[in-house]
Amino acid sequence: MSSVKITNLSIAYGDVKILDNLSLDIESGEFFFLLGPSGCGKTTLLRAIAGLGQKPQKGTIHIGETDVTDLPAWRRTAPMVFQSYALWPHMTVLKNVTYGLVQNGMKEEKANSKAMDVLARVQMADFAKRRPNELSGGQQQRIALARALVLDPSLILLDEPLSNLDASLRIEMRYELKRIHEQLGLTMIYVTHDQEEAMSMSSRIALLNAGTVAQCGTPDDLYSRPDTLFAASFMGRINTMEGEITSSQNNLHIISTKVGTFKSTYPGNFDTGNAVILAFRPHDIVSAGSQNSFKAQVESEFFYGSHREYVIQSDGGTFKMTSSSIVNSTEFGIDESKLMVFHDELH
Amino acid sequence: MMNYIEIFKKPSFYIHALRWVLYISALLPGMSFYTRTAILGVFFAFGLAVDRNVFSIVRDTVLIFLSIFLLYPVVYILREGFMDEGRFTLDFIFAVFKNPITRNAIITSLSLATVTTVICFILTMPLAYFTVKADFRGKALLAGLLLVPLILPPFVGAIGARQLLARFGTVNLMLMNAGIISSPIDFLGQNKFWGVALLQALHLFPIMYLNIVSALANVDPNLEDAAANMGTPPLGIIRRILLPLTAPGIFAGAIIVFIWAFTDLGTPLVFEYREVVPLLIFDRISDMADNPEGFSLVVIVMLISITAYITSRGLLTKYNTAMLSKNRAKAREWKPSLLTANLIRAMFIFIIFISILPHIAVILTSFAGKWFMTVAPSTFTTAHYSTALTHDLTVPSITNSIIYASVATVIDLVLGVLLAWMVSRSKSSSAKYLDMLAMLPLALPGIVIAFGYLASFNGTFLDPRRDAMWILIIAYSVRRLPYILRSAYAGFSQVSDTLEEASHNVGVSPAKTLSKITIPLITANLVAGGILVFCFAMLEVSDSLILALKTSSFPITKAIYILSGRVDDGIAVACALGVWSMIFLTISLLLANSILGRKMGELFR
Repeated sequence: MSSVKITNLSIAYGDVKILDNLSLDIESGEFFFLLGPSGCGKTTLLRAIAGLGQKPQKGTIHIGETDVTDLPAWRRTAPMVFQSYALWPHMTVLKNVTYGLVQNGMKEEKANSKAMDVLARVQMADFAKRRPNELSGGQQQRIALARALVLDPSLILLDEPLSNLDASLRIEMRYELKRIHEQLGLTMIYVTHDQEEAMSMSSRIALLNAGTVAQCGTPDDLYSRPDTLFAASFMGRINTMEGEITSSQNNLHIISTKVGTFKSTYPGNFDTGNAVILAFRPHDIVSAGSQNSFKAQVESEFFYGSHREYVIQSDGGTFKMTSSSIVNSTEFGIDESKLMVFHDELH
Repeated sequence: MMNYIEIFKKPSFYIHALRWVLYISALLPGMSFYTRTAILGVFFAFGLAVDRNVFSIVRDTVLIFLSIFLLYPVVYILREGFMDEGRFTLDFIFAVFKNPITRNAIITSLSLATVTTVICFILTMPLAYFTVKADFRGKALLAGLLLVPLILPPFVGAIGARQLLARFGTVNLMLMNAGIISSPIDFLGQNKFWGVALLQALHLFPIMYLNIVSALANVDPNLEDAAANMGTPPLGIIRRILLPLTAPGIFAGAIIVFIWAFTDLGTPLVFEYREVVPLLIFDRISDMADNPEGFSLVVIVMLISITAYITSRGLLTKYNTAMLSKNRAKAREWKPSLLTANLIRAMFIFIIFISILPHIAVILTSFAGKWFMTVAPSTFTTAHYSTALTHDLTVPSITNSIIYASVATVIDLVLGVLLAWMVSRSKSSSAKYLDMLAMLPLALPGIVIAFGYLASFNGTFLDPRRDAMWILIIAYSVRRLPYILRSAYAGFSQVSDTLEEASHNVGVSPAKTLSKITIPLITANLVAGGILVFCFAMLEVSDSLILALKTSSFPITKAIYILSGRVDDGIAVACALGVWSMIFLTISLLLANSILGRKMGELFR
């Protein structure tokens, strides 16, 4: 079991800062996600843990008790599942899996039997004699995972492992990965830009933005109690509206907006007169609600089977709302605890 | 960003500075070969002391090899051409232009190269156009056969051509028998210029062909469709779209042909066309110590070639960036009618036939028992073939050539793989400069390198006057390094970095990764590149003729040249030897072509 500790890590390519003084503590046994938009540095961070790519200019990386910052990639035990799978095309599936063992001195026979065990675990034992180019994307994905698992690691790194799979296979592989994590209890660090993937599988998520950690916490923390508008909008769809604090006491904020006065119990410190952005998720708008009610007209409706989506027009702007039942009211409301309030940094 | 003051505080900075001072001093003239090598040895040892990673060791090894065998001879030639008793002077260069003999030779050589290039262009343009745009049966085969002249040693062909064009040779006799002319045309006397130009063109046109094909294939067919869509007729599309877009690529190919023709030694030598620069240089070799004229001519040839080469590279780079477009469609082929297809095929076959005609003459000569005053030999024999394999001049030369070519190929494979690996995997700029240095032999004609070796290794154990074995091996490997480098580089760029990273990631060291993952993945490229290097080394002309000074170290080409000058059966035996090597080379090249496929063309750009 390995924990991973990143301290004040900075990595730059020339003048371009990729990671900027970033620190993270990943507990052993966690299914930890690095999430963020493209270019936020999540892959660079994962590769830095593996020892690949540009060396850090500053900071340290510990795997377990060991400071690995200056160790080359091949002296670390942090096997990775690459986004492109990176299976060696000139070797059979079995050779791909045993390669790491055999090259490090294990007898071929022993390595083979070990590899077959792991291949069975990922349900690929029948494919041992094939070449990678004879396999589908999902099968290659399993081999790449087997190649990492065969080393009996206490830590596995996954770089957008599902991004090259089609939608239904992707969902299926989520169950599979989660099952493997639970069975083996190892530390897994997983990079993705897909917030749904991160929320559904992770024990904790670090949301990265521009080379720093925007927020780190459980999926529920990030979804329901985001610290910033960036986190709120990255974790799911959101409506926004401008407002101004008229009073803020004992964590009850009164905000005046174009459609009336709103109340919120969202955590945060505000002073009277602060310009703020109110944010609320489409499914938190209810028709004819008792709290924070406002008037709006339904403009259009979209039917999705499990639910309906409405575009509603108010004096404060156009909002999206979702509902499981048909909406035909002109009165809407938002629960005080569901209304997020953020400082408006533009004002 | 690192503070610059910090850099000066590190001791490694001073060691590096000292290293480069040592390096530069090793290139300066005025010290013995052994001192120079020792200084570079110290340079290498200091490098090991400060930076012991694989990249730096590879970089220093390749740099030292290229410095001794490429840079230093060039520096030596420049010094002899521009320095007089320690002072810089242009007198030697001016002297070349003042002397009517050398001045005329330069003009003749430039005209010869121009004419050769123009003939190449006219021969190839339609062929290349149909190769890219038309879809007809047998195209792949005909396009492959079109490359055959490239591997036939041109000066062996020249021996055959001499037989064909002699006063009472095949061509004159056929023309006279047909009643077209009454007295023989003197092809080999007054009209040598055209004979040499034609022969060079027949040897070099495949290079032009490969370049034009690749330029045409790079044009996005959507651009032509867009023009057609706006009402441009087909010929208008060729003139307004295709030609302007491909002109830089075609010109770049033309420059390569120009350099080859300008510096070709073999063909004019066989035709005894003494009024060209390469032959003047060849003649100055014996008195190079007393006469600066040889050096000045070499300097001029070198400057012209390098300028031309850089122009060509510049054009290609500009052209390649301009052609870089995403989502471009594959070249579309048009299906000609049966008649048109036959006409196209006939055109290919005619040009292939013309281009191998000299070599057919070589084959005929090699079988000729008696061939005098008749269109074809009157009696045939295979005696010359057994003579060619038993003669006391040819047997050692065959052994020599095989040894030289094999060792040169091994050296190139090792250097080429290491360098290509470094260039493709490290982002450092030093790798790029080293790559440019290693590609320089493409711009340096064989006569320049050979002349430089002869002058700068005078008196060392590499002196060809003692034994040419090692200096020829080195000359072959330096000159052909670019080919291996290109094909290895192409291989490395196809092997994604991630495949190597994945190996490091499961705990395998970089050196082991190179041998277990990377090299196996680029084997095809290496084999093909190796075969090419081997072939070119086997039929190399200028270095072989200039550097092989003792009979015991003659390679095949020099043996053929010496034999062809002997009376009685010399020419026939020379031709038999030529045929042996042609058979050998054809097989090798077909092998390389089947391994390397379409990428073969990229090696000649």
